[in-house]
Amino acid sequence: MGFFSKKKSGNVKKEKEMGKLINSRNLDENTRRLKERLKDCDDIVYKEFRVGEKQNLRFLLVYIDGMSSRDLLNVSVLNSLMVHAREVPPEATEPGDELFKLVRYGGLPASELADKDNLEDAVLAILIGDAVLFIDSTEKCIIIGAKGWPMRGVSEPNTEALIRGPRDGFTETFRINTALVRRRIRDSRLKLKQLSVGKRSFTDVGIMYIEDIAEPELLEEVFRRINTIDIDAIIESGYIEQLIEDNYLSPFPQISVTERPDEVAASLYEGRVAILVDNSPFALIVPTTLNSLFQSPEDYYDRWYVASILRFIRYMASILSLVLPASYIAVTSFHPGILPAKLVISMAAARQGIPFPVLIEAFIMEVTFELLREAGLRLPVPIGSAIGIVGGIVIGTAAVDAGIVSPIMVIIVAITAISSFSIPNYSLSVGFRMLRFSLMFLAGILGLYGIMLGVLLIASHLVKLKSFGIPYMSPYVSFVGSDYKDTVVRVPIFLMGKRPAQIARNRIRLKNNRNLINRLEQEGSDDKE
Amino acid sequence: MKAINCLRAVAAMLCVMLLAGCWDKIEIEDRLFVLSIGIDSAEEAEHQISEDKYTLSFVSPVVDQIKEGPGPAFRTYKTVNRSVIMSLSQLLERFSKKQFFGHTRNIFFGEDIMKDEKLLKEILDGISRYHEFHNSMYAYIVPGRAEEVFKVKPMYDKLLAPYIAGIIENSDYTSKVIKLTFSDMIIMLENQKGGLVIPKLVPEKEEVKINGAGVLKDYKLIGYLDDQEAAVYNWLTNKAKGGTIEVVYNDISTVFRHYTFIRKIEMPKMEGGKIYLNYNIEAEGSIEEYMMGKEILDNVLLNKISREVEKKIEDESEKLIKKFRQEFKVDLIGAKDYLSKYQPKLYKTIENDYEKFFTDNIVIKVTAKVNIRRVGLIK
Repeated sequence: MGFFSKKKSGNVKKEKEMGKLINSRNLDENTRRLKERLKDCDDIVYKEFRVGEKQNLRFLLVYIDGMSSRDLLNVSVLNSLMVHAREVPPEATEPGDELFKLVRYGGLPASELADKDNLEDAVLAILIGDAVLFIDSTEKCIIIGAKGWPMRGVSEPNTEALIRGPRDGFTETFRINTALVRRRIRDSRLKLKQLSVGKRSFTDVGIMYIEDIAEPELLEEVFRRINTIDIDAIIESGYIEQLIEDNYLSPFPQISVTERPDEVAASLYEGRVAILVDNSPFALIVPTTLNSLFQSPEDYYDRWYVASILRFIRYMASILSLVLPASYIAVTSFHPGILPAKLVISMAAARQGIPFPVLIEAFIMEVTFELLREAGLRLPVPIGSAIGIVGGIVIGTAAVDAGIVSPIMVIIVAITAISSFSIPNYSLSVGFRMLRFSLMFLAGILGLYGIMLGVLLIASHLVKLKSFGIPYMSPYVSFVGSDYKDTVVRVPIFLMGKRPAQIARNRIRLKNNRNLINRLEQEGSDDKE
Repeated sequence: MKAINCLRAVAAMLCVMLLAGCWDKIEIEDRLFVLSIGIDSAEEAEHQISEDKYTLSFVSPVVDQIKEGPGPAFRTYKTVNRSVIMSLSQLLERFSKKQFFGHTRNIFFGEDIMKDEKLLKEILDGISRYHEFHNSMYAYIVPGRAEEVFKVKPMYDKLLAPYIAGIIENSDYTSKVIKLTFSDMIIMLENQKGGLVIPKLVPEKEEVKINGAGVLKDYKLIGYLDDQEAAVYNWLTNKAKGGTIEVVYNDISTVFRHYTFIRKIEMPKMEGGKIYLNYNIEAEGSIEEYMMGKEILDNVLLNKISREVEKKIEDESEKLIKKFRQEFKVDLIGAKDYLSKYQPKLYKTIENDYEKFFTDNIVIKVTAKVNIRRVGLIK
């Protein structure tokens, strides 16, 4: 019994905390309560005004300066109530419910209105940027959708620039982002479920999916994981990503992040689920596979062999960025026999007089490069070019001239750096970078054998890893032929008839029209003859 | 349970790392790449103690002089000792760098080693048993002493070893060069019970020449082939690929260049205790040289020239076969190979006294067929 009573008292306390506080009928009392609740918030505007022949109808408009659109409030609230009411006097001469109805259903030319009788709801509405209109002698208040804060326009995403493809990218405003996605999916089955996460931040989190393509189990899992989040504030979508990912120890990102609405739309059409978070221009896409991290939206906009060559290059680049310095260490310190004699001799010549072992040399160069990269990232653009010059001279020339590192090592580091930049996904390239260092140490201790051990460990981790129930290595782990059409080789689009089997249901995506086109061509030529 | 699994994982990791890892880390600049090895029998004057038998010469690149150094690009050094392994360990007492034989391209044997059965057998065992030597290095015999080769300053190459190995690799284009790797040499010596044909390398001041071959019987040098005979040897053992054959027709010397050269053996009959073998040779190629102003694209003429080439192939071949049968008395021209592979029952009966059988009772007939496919650019 004690257990129950405890729970009950807890509930009561919670109710009080949540402030199931009904508005007072008295405007002054409401003002007092609001001011007490929003004490020391100097950016809140309390605009009290009177309407009517006798100036006896009192209104109070509350909003946060800067978060609500003043223009909208001026035109649709103040102008209509104060000016127009003078031209055509309102029918209700007394304050009260009659007046409320009149204002609520006819007096306010604003597109988004709601009424609440709860002070807490009103406070929350104020805090998210809406304006609240209190009317004397009723306990209801009207919430006017007047969100209007300074926001960045839709612009080209910096981190995912493309040669070919749409130039719009997500912004920090949730509603703009959802609109950008919906513009690409004019289907009633595109669903957007909004949640509010964060006990203090009340951040909007939107879960987007296409109802008849996404698997219900996947959706359920996404909702379940997001609902488990109990945190004070969500600042960026990275918080959500880290709170719901499968394996926090893995160096591989299990949720892909994108700034591009076209990529989100394409993923939704494949049966994935997108998570959009307010205040973040980065949308999350689940589930993610290693294969999808090597894809760029451009692959589908360019012709198929262009895309296939680029994908092949990306896979090669990732392998290079993972094992190149490690293989150099292993070959020079353990197995000089596997290279052609002339190459080995020129490598030995380049190493002549270098005071460090290859492992240390490689480590110095890689760390220097990482420092340069990080410094270049932090610096403002005008100074950033200076880092390039310093880096070019320091790593390139001076270190070699001083005899600290060998020229071949510079080449190795440069190729590794270029390769790691050609991986389309940033978090993936960071993961590879981390693994590269461990492989370098393994190679320094055990040679090629160490590299093979490391690669085996990575491979066994990868085949075990899952992202929201989908194997991370799919489609390579499955034997569904149609899934292989979108891997290293991207087949021509007319052949990609099915959605990925692991992820989507309702799999038919398109019908092959090639034969129709060919038939028409043939008929055309027959006519000529 | 978790602790046990953890322990198991650690044990497995330790096993794979300690039992199978590569723990022989030597930085690349601490290695001394040996590019060629020369082996001679030690001269009296070189003896440090009376048991010394071998002089081993090595050539290694001076790596920082290779690109644009004022000094020589390679240095040679030698050691006198009783055995291969002792020689190698003696080098460790003299140099800070460790010898690395993974890139050894050539091994030269001095004539005097090849003449002494005991010395040769010992040194071959030492080299083939030691795991660091590279089995695909090319083997040569040097008339005189092998260390003479290392005094050559090649005209166009900075390094000696790739230069000599490059000549051997020309065997695709000229049939006068015999290509023999060390592992092939060991296999052949084993199969032929001491018989071997090994390319002869003649050092001069600024160049070397592969000139003919040495013939070994019972681990002993018994004679040399000249370079034409070396080509014929390549034909008969089916090792020839590209090459040239010169014939004179109507007082005009013309050159036939073959691109393919195939030899097949068959045994048509066995009569009166004699084995008759047919060597069928088929060559395809082009006429490279004739005479300005003469019409060569004429079927009759081409047929006559090819008859001429066929005749030359047959004559040269039979001359060499005769030499092997009567002078060297050893079968290194493939008949034994054929008989043991394709006529094993027959071979069993003659195996014991094969050499005698070869000189007396094997009759080899060479039939050549030449196809001239092209006659060059001008008509």
